[in-house]
Amino acid sequence: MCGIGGVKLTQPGPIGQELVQMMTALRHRGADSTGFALYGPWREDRLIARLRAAEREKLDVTLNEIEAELQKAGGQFAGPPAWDKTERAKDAFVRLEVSPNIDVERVTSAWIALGGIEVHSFGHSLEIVKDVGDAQTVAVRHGIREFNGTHGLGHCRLATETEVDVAHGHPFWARPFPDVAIVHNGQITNYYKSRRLLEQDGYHFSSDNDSELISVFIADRMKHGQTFEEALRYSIGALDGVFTYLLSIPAGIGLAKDRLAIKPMISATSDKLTVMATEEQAIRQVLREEVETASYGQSEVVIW
Amino acid sequence: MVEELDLEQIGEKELNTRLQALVNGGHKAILRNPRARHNIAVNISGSLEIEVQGSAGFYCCGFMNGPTVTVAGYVGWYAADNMLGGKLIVLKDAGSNLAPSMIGGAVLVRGSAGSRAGYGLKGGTVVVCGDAGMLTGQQMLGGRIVLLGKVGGQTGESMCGGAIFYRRGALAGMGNNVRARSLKAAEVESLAVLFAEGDIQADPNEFECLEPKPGKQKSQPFKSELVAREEAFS
Repeated sequence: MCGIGGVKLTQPGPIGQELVQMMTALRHRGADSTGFALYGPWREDRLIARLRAAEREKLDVTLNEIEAELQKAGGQFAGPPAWDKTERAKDAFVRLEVSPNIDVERVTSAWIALGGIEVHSFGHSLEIVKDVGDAQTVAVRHGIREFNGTHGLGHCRLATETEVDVAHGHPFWARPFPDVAIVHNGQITNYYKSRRLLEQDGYHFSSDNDSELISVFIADRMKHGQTFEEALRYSIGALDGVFTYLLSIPAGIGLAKDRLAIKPMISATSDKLTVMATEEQAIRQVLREEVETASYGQSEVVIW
Repeated sequence: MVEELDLEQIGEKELNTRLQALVNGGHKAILRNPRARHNIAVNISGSLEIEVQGSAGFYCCGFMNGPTVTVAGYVGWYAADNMLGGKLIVLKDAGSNLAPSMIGGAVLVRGSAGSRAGYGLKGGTVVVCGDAGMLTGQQMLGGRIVLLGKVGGQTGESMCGGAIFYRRGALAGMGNNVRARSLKAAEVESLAVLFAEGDIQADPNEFECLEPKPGKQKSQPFKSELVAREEAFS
């Protein structure tokens, strides 16, 4: 089933808090894992990488290995590494600031090849944080409520196709494109064929989840000159299956729905923000007053 | 007696238990702060007036039999799911799959409805004053759907009973196994009564009707696009 949502503020503000409230209201749609794609201030002089290391006990060694691979690619840390301070956790969620003059795919591949490393995002602005459990659990462990920014996405997952773990949680990063993320409710039925076509173009996938495929597909179309809206519209014809997805870039959030509009989506706008979600119930957590809402039908594309 | 229930204070199960306790006593229930909560008035049987002061979420009035429910805001997907009797009045829009498999009673949406309104409808009346999405009345078995605005494609797909009334020229497309016809005199009269009761400004003479084609159905709603394996991977 899954629940997805997004929020875009007119002025930077507490997007983490807003998204946690929304995902809490959608908990009944899935609590296997919950994740957030958060857009903070743009930092031209660095990229922020979000990683998960499977073995917290070996984190010192792992960070040295990570730095060594980064240096081999001509990069360096642009700030001290940080990680969650959860007691008794076996894994660690790491936030790195690195110099921007790197080949992101080369570094990502090298880090994954170290073993026990998942790379969740790269971005000048984007940070993806996802973990198993419901919104409250993830928010507490990762301090999501304290995150300020311009816009973001949230996802609560009811796993149907792939396993319940952090790697298969949403949002997905459009590896290797910095600052592109997706949350998706649905199922892509021409996944393998579409994936092979993208792999032939040199893309590498971090999971076998169909949502990751959509994000790379869209980013690739934009790389080849399509606008954000054109790429979203193109995907409706090119991807088979039922889907409603929200894709975010630094400029904002886009929505695309399949040709039969099987999955719901609703939005509302006030003078301070635009909010969109699978259910109106989530919107009412952020916009408490009765406001006009808009819902979307088949093959619709919207850019916020 | 008017009883006010604040949905900020009580959960869905308690709400419906308390609504059920109020039936058949000439009461009215006012639901404050609904904030699009799901399952409002599900499975309530008996006479009761319910006023929802905001939006209702999914499954509003599902399996309901008897009450008259007025929702001041929107309703989410699957409103009046399998409803047996009573009335649901929505002052704004309804989400997709309005009144699926509804058995009896009446649904009146003042705004628009999403896709697949009246999916598998078995009885009763569904009225949408605004626009309706694609596949309205898909696989309906009985009852009637009355559409006052624009209507999406594949309307009445594979229906085998009942009737869909719409304004002449308002249909984007018909589904398989249906045919359009003019209204009979009794149907014009029946629509006139319905419009008068619902305070709807419309002339029944502007309407026509979709009904199932007689005989065995030849249904192929989604044409398969199978291709040879070699071709698929070339």
